[in-house]
Amino acid sequence: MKYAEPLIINKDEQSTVRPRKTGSLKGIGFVYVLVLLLLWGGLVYGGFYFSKQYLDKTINNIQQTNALNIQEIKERMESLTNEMIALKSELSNTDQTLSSSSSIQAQLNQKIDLLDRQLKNLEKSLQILKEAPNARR
Amino acid sequence: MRAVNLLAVFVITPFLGLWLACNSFTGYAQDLLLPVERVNIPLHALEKSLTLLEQEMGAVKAQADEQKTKYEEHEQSLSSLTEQASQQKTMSDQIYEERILAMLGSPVKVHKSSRVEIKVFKLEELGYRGYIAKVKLFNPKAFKVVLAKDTLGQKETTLEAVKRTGALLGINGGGFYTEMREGKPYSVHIGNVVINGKLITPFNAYPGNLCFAGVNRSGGVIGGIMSKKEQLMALNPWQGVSFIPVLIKGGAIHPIPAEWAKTNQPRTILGEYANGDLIMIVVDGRQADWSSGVTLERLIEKLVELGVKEAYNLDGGGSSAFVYGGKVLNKPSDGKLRPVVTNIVVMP
Repeated sequence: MKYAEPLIINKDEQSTVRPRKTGSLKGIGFVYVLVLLLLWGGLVYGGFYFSKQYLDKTINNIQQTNALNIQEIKERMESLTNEMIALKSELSNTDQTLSSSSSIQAQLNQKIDLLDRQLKNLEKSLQILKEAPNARR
Repeated sequence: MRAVNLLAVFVITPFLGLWLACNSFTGYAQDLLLPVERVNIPLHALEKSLTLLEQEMGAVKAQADEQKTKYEEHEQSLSSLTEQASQQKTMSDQIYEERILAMLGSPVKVHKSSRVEIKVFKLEELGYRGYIAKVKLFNPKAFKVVLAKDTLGQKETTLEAVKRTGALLGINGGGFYTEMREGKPYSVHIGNVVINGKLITPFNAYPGNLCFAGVNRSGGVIGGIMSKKEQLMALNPWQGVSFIPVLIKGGAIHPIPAEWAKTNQPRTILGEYANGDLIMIVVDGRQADWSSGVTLERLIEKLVELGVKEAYNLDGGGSSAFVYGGKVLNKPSDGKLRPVVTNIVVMP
């Protein structure tokens, strides 16, 4: 039976053992750091997610509001356009009526001149008739 | 533990910043909204203006429509009045025509074409007879003064002139005399003769009562004592001859020389009714069993009775001739037609 050799630990060995203890501590530290990093990463992602949602929602609301406003303005503009078209049509009709009136007025003046001539002719004819001879029979 | 807290602070701090940024973005986001209110104000004003404009436009159109309707009504009224005036004039003209015809009796000859209407009547009064032609000229060119054989110095009868020119009606024209030139008789018209708007010889300013009688370019009878060429040309003469005297001018009896007033003679007259119809009268004379002739005084009375408003005495005596349709209707005092220098003819 061999006895176990006495544990002799030289300085070199001591230095070999001590790093084993420090390495496990480092491992624990690494894990902590890793956990913290993961936590930080999760928070960053959460923050990103929350911010993105918030900004998207806000911008979306603005877009919808703007779209609704634009729609309303568009409808009002269309309404105005229709009214202006109707106005243009009415203006055109009025213009035609006025042109027609103007034409009729010109005809009216011609008719007045014609009537004037006819009346003068009639006056002359009646004057002639007034001086016509009276038959004895 | 301190390290953990410190780390926690470091970790949370960016989120705090992020939260602050998000909060500030809410305010900034409001600026991203379109400035609708700023558009709304002018848009509303525009809508209001447009509505007002529409209302005013409607009022203007209604007014224009009303005006147009009124114009149309006036036009119809004027048309109706014009038509009535025209009808009344036609009726008045017809009544005048009927009255003239009632005075003249029934026509013995009638001709109507696109340029002339001729009605020939017998004239039978106490002591004298003759013929009357009432001529309605639609084209003044149907009325012509014809120089004998179309040559100065010549003579021809009214019948020859009518046949030569293809006329339907003819009466003798102005006065003339005959002189000897180079041993040959040369007939000269007295006063002025206008054919187709031109004097056939230089203007003759013969003093006294010698008068011009003819028609203007419109076919109306013109005449009077002409002392200057300008005076004659101002009447725009188309055809005309000269003799003596003026009988009726402008509806008024013209004073006539005493030596012309009281003697019964064959007469030739050119006159006009108030409606523009021409009247040509030839009275026979110097034939006791047929017609003794008429004094100008009596003839004027007859003309006034007939309603003649303008009348001029032309060459009478043996020259008086009335030709219609190629036949001499009257009875010339010489027993035959006398060749004369000028004749008046009316084309069919």
